[in-house]
Amino acid sequence: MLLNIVVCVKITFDISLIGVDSVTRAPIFRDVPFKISDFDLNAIEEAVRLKERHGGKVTSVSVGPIERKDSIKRALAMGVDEAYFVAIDQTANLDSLQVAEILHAVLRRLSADTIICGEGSVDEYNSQIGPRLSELLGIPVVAYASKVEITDRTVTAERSLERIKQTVRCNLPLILSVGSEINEPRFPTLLQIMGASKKPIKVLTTNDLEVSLEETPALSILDISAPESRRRRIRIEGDSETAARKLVANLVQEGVLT
Amino acid sequence: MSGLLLTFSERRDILYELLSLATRLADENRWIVGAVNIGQNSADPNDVIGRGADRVFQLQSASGVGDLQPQQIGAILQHIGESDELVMALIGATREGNETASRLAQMLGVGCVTGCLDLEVKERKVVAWRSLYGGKFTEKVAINGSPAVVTVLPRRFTSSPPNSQRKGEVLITEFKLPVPPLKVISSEEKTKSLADLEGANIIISGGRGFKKKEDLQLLEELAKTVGGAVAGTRPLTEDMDWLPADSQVGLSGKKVNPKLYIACGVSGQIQHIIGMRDSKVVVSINIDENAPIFQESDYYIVSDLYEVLPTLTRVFKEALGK
Ligand SMILES: Cc1cc2nc3c(=O)[nH]c(=O)nc-3n(C[C@H](O)[C@H](O)[C@H](O)COP(=O)(O)OP(=O)(O)OC[C@H]3O[C@@H](n4cnc5c(N)ncnc54)[C@H](O)[C@@H]3O)c2cc1C
Repeated sequence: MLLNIVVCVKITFDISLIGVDSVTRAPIFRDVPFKISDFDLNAIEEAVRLKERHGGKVTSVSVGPIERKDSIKRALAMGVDEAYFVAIDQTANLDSLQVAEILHAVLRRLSADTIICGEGSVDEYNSQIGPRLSELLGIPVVAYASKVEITDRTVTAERSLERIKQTVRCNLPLILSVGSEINEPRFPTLLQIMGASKKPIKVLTTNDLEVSLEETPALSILDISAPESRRRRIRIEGDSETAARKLVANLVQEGVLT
Repeated sequence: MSGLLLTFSERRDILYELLSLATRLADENRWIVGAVNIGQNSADPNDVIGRGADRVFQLQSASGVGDLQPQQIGAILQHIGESDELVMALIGATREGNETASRLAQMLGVGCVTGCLDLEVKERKVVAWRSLYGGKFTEKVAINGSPAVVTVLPRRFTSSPPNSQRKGEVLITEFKLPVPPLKVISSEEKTKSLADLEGANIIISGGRGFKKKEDLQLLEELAKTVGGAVAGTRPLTEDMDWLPADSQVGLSGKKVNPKLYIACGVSGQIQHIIGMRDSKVVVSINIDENAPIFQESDYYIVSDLYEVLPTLTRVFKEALGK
């Protein structure tokens, strides 16, 4: 049984390096590098493991401004066979509705039987793509999957919801959304990184895909600003005994122990 | 009056929180508040009215409606929205709720904002606040299409006390449920942490600075001494399964606001900070002098938690006369 796996990969800013303007509290993106969104690395890892177990092919699909394209090489080095990159206008701030429509257009052409995405992206954490694709494609989604097994085109998956742990079953084709608990993404070797440069990255536009996005986006950003931290940052020094005594004395004085 | 604001959560406590936000928005805009009262945790419809609903929607075949899957709930919400002028769907931002909302939004062909901190309606436009970039920033976003589909984080709003005098109607919807897409083989409640984090005065939290599960004993002893609740970072609750899932604090866990939060062996990644930064006093212990958690602390100790914690517990015991 060969699997035709597609993994949806978002390239985001390395959010830990986004600066804050000390006056306006607005984000500063200057020189902030791009990377593959954290949980999408878990999605890639799971896709590659399924391919290693069952045979088949892994294709990645990304949507974003073209300057982010090169970050997808890491996915190719991890074992993705082929990458599609749908280039969009740099200034366009696509919402999940639009991204799902674009991904849907690519997925229709790829006729995948297993689609994997992260439970949410590290920048926005909207957690909408899996369920939206499920509606668009009319196939089930197992959101927050933590363990996946496929036998004879039947998928058994464990997943973790708000208050319950479930084991669910359904047939291919299906969509999985995954988080950090499902696996530990591999670090590609130098050889794999070099090999990845020979793998194809196919760049597409929304015109190629014949998707016309709504003229008014569903959402408009009015403001982005960083809340200020009012912490006192008092370092308590000394050996354990001294530090513990100082700390406890302070906390008693603050009246937070009752 | 026109315009229906529909609320739903598979958790009753969250539904009541949503109703208190919904009545505020509905009063300002002359909308009707609807509540979808279905599934395993549905309430007495009169209680739902007493918490702020003008209309309570139930399914005719209420019996046999066990745990509904998000796809089914989405279809029910869409169905109810069709017969009235649906202006907004307010859904609780749980894992299931976010899936339900995303599906509903896709069925309706509209946008969706998940994990809202607050909402307002200005000049007939819905404006939402939510966290961005792991919580480092707060975003204010306008929702252009209608209806507005949003999920709201738990504990952002306080549910109104029950009012048995409130009037409302109970509507029985006839709807053939779609076949659930997933076959549930087994389902078990996650182990619950003993303490209620959201109501705790003191929280002692641990991160990957702990080397093995047994070492969390150090955390528990400190918590017991000061009468606090134990919490942890996502690696401990989800990846390693060392702590119950409901004790995770952060972006994909709980938002807490105790009087005292002590973070031990926690690096202080923004996704964790967002869950605890409303704490009154924050203390952290970390071996790395440059740990980001120190930026978010009132007091911090640069040291090995294995050395500090036992001493700290003993000193607390003495100070508290235990
Ligand atoms: C979309 C998304 C959502 C997320 N949601 C959450 C969430 O809700 N909650 C959450 O917590 N995380 C969340 N995360 C993960 C988050 O980014 C961090 O990976 C996580 O918080 C780190 O956990 P940690 O501090 O335990 O581990 P680490 O980052 O590994 O930090 C361990 C710390 O322990 C210190 N240490 C090591 N040994 C000792 C010692 N002997 N004594 C003292 N200190 C020691 C180290 O210096 C280090 O600072 C999310 C991530 C993503 C991408």
